[in-house]
Amino acid sequence: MSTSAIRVRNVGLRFFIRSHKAPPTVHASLVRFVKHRPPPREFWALRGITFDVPRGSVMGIIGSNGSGKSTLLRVLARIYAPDEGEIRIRGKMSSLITLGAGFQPNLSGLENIHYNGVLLGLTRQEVDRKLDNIVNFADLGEFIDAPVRTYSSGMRARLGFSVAVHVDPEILIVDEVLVVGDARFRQRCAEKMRELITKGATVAMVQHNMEAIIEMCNECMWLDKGQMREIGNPYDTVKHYLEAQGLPMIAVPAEIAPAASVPDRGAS
Amino acid sequence: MKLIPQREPDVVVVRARERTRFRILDFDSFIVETGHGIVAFFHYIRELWQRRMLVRVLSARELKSTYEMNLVGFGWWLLEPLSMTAVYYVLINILTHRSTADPTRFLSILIPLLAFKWLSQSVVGSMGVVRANATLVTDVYFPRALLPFAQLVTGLAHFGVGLLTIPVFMLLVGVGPSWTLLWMPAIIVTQFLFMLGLSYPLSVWGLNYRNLPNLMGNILRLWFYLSPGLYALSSITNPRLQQLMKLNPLTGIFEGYRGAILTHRAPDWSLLYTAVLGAITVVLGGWYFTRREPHFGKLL
Repeated sequence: MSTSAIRVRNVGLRFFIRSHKAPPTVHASLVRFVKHRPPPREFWALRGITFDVPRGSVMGIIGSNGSGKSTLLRVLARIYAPDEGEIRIRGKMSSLITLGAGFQPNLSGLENIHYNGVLLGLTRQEVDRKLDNIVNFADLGEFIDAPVRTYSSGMRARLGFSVAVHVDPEILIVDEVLVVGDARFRQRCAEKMRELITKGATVAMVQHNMEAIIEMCNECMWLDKGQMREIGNPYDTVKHYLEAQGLPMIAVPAEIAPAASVPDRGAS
Repeated sequence: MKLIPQREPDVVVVRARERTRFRILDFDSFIVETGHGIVAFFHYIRELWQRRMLVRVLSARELKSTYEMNLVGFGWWLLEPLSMTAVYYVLINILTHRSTADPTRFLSILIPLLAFKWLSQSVVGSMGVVRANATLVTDVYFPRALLPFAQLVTGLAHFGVGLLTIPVFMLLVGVGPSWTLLWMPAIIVTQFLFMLGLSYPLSVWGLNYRNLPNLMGNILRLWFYLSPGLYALSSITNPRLQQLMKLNPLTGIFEGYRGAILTHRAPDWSLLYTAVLGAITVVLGGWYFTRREPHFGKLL
C-alpha cells in the first residue's frame, strides 16, 4: 500500500466543443438526432497525467495560460470526473480554487462563514467553535456584520481564505488565489500556508510566482497543452520552463537554492 | 459476495468508465466509482448522509436572502394560490348557475391549489437548480443530489406557511377540526417523496435542455386540470373514469389533503399508491442523477 496522499494515474479529461453556438435545447437535439449530425469535436484538456504526491509533500504546478493547470486542480478536487484513468485521494481535502465560492451577497459576513464552512465540509458545531479564529484571521473589523455585497473583492477574498484554511485540511488544493488582498494579508496567507505545510498537510498548488514554487514545493510539474512536460525538482523545472519561454532564470536567495536542488526534501 | 467492500475511511477513488461509442442523448457515461454501480450508489448515499447538514444551510440561505425570514415575504408566495382560488370559485359558481354558493367549496379549491403551487414551483425550479448554483458546482465538491432536495425543503417551508391560512378559512366557512388532521404529515411526506422522484431526472435534463421549463410548466398546468383539484373525485359519476383517475398520482395527494381537512376522511389506498410510486422514482431518479452528476461541471 502506498502512502501517497494523492495518486493520479493516466488521467485524461475531455471537453466537447459544441459547433452550434445556441444553448442546447429540446428541439435542437431532436434536429441533431434526425439529421444524424456528427458528434461534437472533442478536445482533451488533460491527457496522460500520472503523478504521486506523498503525504506531507508540496507539489507545484506551473505552465502557461490554458495549459490545464486549473483543470487538473478541479479534477483533484472532484469537480470534474476524469474521462480516462483514475485518481485516489487519501485524507480530508479542502480546495481553494475560488475564494468564497457561493458567497451569498445579501447575507452578512458572519452568516456566510457558517454557510461556506458547512459547504467546505465542516459541521455547524465545528464552525461555531472556530468562528472566533476565522473572524480574527479575516480581520474585517465591523464589516463582518455587513452584507457581503458591500465588500470589496479583496475583503471577499480574505473572508473566503480565512474559512478555507480553518477547515484544517489534510490535503489542500490551491489555485492561484494568494495574489489577492493587500501586501500584509498576502504575507499572512503565505505564513498560514507554511504553518499548514509544517503541520503535515499535503498541498497541490498552481503558482505563477516562481520564487514561491522554488521556496515552498518539494516537487514541481510543468504542464504544457494538457500534457506533462516535465516533473521533478522545482529549481530545475522552473529553470527549464523559463528557458522555454525565453525568460532569464530568476535569482534565488542563497538559503533556498541549495535546499531546493536536493531532491526529495522531507518526502520519500 | 460482499456488496460493500471494506475500505479505509477517507479514501476516495474516482475512476473513469470505459466507453465504447458516442450516444447522442448521452454525453456523459462516466461515474464516480468506488466499486461497481450499486456499491458506488451506496457509498454516494452514505456521503449524502454525512453531508446532510448542507440541506439546512442551502435552504436557509434561499429563504433568508429572498425574504429575510419575515412573514410578509411569505405572503407573496400565498398571493397566487389565494387569488386563483377566488377566480375559480367565482367562475365555478357562475358556470354551474348556483343560486346559493357553497362556501366550503372555496376551501376545497384552495387546498389542492396550495399543494400544487409547491409542486409546480419546485418541479419547474428543479430544472434550473444546478445552473442557479453554478458557482458552487464549478468550485466546490459536495454531493449534488443535495441541491434538488434542498430546493424541495425551501418549497416545503413556503407550503407550511401557506397551510397556516387553512385554519383561518376553516373558521370562516365553518369547518371544524377532526382527528383526520393527523394524517397531514403522512400526506406531506408522500408529496415530498413524489416530487423528489420527479426532481432528480428533471434537474439533469434541465441542464441539457434549457427550454424544458417552459414545456414543463404547460404540462404541469394540464396535469392539474386532469387531477381532482378544482373538483372532488366524488363528483365524477362515471365509475370507470373514477378508477382511471386514481392512477394519477396527484389524485391520492389532493384527495388526501381534502379528506384530512375538509371532509374528515382518512386517505384511501390511492395515497399509498402515490407513496410507492414516489419511492420507486426517487431510487431510479436518484440513481440516474448520480450517474450524470460527475458531468455537471462541464455542462455549465
